[in-house]
Amino acid sequence: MTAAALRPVPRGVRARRRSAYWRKRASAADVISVAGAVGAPVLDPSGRRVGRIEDLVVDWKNGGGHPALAGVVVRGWSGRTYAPSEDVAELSAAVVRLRRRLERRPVEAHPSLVSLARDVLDRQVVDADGVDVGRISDLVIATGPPGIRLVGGDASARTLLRRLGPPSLRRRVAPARVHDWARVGPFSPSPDSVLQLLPS
Amino acid sequence: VTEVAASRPRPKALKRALGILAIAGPGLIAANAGNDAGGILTYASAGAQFAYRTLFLMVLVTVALVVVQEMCARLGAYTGKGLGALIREQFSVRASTGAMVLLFVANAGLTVSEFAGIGAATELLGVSRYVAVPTALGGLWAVTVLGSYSRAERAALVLSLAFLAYPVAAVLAHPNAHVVARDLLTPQFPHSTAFLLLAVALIGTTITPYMQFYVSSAVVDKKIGPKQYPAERVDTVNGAILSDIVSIFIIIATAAAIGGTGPLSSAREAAEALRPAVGSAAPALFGAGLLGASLLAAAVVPLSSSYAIAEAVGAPRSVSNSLRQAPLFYGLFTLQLLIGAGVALAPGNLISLVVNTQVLNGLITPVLLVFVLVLANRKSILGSAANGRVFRAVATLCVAAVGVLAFAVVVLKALSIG
Repeated sequence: MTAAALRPVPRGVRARRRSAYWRKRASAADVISVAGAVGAPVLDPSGRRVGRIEDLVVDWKNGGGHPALAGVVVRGWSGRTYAPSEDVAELSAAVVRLRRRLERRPVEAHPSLVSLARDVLDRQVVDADGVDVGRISDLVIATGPPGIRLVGGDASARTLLRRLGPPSLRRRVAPARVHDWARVGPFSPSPDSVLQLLPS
Repeated sequence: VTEVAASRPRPKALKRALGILAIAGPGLIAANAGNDAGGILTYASAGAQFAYRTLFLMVLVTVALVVVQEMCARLGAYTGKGLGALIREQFSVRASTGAMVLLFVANAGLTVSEFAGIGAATELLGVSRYVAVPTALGGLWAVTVLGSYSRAERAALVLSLAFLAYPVAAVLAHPNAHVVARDLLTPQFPHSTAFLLLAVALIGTTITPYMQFYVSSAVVDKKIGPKQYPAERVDTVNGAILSDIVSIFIIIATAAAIGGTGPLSSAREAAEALRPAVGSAAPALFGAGLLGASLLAAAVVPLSSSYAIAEAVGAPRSVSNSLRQAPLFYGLFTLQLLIGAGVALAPGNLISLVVNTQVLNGLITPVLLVFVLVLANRKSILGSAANGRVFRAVATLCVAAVGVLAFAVVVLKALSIG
């Protein structure tokens, strides 16, 4: 079924269909809005603020349909640095706590590593037939077992409007409007690529 | 014989010309739509109020227009995305929302001036604007949403050819050639608030945001890529220069006929500039040209904001889509037409409304041009086609000059001098 085929379906039916995944998901894990998390403070093990989240990096090849978090790009006083996921003790939409002191290291560059805020957020989404569906207004990360993973994307206009509001509003996740990330086809972060929803 | 003729290799120059003709459109239409109702009345007002003294400014504005339009066409050709899409992807969601709101406000104001132009033109032809404006609203909506937009676009382009009468009128009005040459080549800027406001209005009507958004979206819609871009660049540069040559002739013709009489108060006064060329047919010819230009721009202006906002949201956007396939795109288009026609039917001085709209555009333009400049400078977007060092310097200078003038108007208005 394509996203185009989803559109004529009554709103309530569509919401129930999408939230079936989320009912399972929400019971097993906490979900975080990527748009809301960007800008959140990053704290070292002593609770001292060392910077803020600039981006979240996932490994597209690791985790199957739900890419695993590879690390966090931190913007500190001395510039950008990279904290691999092993160093992340706690990740929430409001704060990131590190397991060890933040060391200066360059952001890893690898073809399979994708920066969510820079490369995926606001990217065009098309359905299986290539028809425009919308743009990714928000991405959703789950933090429970089996690890921190990218699990969904929201291309709704309401979420876009929410992003214009204060941080408390930006951090909200609306499960009924989120597409399961396992339905998204292969993607490259080049400027001309789009995200394609595969038939479910 | 036919087979032999067909297989005969075409000369390189002919091949090149045919290639340009095949691509021609986005640059030419965007620039030609720039000579819309607001533009024509602002240029005529400049000639009537300050005679030839705005000519040097128009030369500078032409250089800036060429630079800006070329950047936008290049962005469209090399990324396959319109400006609306690029701004959403490359800037924060708040910045892109701000840009879209500004574009919508500027374009809604311009659509008002296009319908005001339709009203003024038909009144010159003896038809009440209370009949013409609603008819034009219905016709434009039906042609764009239900019919063949490209056929209507061609018809409006042909109608606006009537403005080619201006170069003839300019020659027949016997302008002082020495003064024209001097004012074209040397700055003649009177130190007055009225001149500053008119300068911003001239910039606002010549380098209009909708032209930039339209040219990038139209290049994408025509599927012009890096391979075809050299021909598209010729189309864009030629279109910008040709449209500004017509603008300069409008100023010269008006200056020679009614120069120094002060700002215009009606389209009939603007038509007087054509009298040396066509005699008593001047109002009718001016009316026909104004009608064609206004109809063309009344479709192109709202379309450009509909394209840009639908691109930014990621919704379907194409004139070949049906109303059901692209509800946001056509909804925005319809809303702007309704605003334009509704305000234009309100009683009041249409000329001052039109010139004020151009000032508003002059203020909004530098903000949107900053987005264009940053995008065209980014190697991460355009690769080797990004602005080089010299082009970047020239483009920055153009955008800064437009920005300084707009800032000066804001300061003058704030101090209640203007």
